[in-house]
Amino acid sequence: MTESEDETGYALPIGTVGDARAMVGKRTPPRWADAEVSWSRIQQFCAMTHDGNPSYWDPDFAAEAWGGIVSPPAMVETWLMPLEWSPWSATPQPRLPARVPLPGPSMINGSSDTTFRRPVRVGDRLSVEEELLSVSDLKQTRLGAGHFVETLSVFRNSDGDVVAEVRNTLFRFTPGADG
Amino acid sequence: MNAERVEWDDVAEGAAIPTVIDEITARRVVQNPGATGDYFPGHWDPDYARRQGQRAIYANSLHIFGLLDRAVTAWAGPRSFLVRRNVRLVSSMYAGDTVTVAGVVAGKRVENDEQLVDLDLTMTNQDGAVICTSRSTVRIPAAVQS
Repeated sequence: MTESEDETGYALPIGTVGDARAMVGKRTPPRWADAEVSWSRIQQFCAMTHDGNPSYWDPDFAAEAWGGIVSPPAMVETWLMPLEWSPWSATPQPRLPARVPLPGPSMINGSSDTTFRRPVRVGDRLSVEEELLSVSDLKQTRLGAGHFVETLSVFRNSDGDVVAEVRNTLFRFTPGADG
Repeated sequence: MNAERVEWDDVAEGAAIPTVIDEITARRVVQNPGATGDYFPGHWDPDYARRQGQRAIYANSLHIFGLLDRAVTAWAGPRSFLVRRNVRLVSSMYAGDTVTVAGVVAGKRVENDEQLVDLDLTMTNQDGAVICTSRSTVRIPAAVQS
């Protein structure tokens, strides 16, 4: 599949299970966030989830409780989301789970197990290291046939301390296809 | 703002936490790419979502996680800290859904002087279909000495 045919905009690479499994066990070098954790984005997120926790909204409470406004835990991956465009890249540079070559042109998330080690505050700049843990054999689901892709992402703050570890499993599939 | 919180001694295994009910309008689903930077087309393009076998555009995982976490910390209080969230995504949260997050205390324990509560959460839609389940663990601070 050429990039122009890729509707996802994330240019999911097409390949074999063997191609995918050749990537297992190699950890990516740290990739730094394009910008610091910002209160504005936190407000955007909480305006979507309708989360009124003062840790996200009230600077006085947050300063006393956490040393500043904190990022909701569900946003940890947001800070490393690739930009749609930048002067250095005309297309989003996808994270590891979207860089694994497999036959399926589509993907959907399956499970996510996150351990949070420390609060993430406004002004922190995060980095992530990612590793492909496993690629399943071909499985059939209601959406189609495909492979489960398990990844580990380790997020650190500017001091190098781990703030969160995410074990994620997504499904790379061909819509409607039988196994 | 809500600064209510649960007290450790009042945490009882098997007790339900307050339910969160939320209407997931298309407008809110589309808020998500802007808030999280996730522009995967299933989250904003109805034609793409249908070609994927989905009935409508659907929220990304981070939106779902945010609602699960909101239910936990609204109960545990703004000084609580989410330690772990282990989610199994069963089906999608679609534009037009009204979702309910229900939670039950699975247990409480003290580890390394930290007061931890395990919660079993289930998110369902208006038809009762399960969208996801989670075992979430939250740290509750010791009572403030005043």
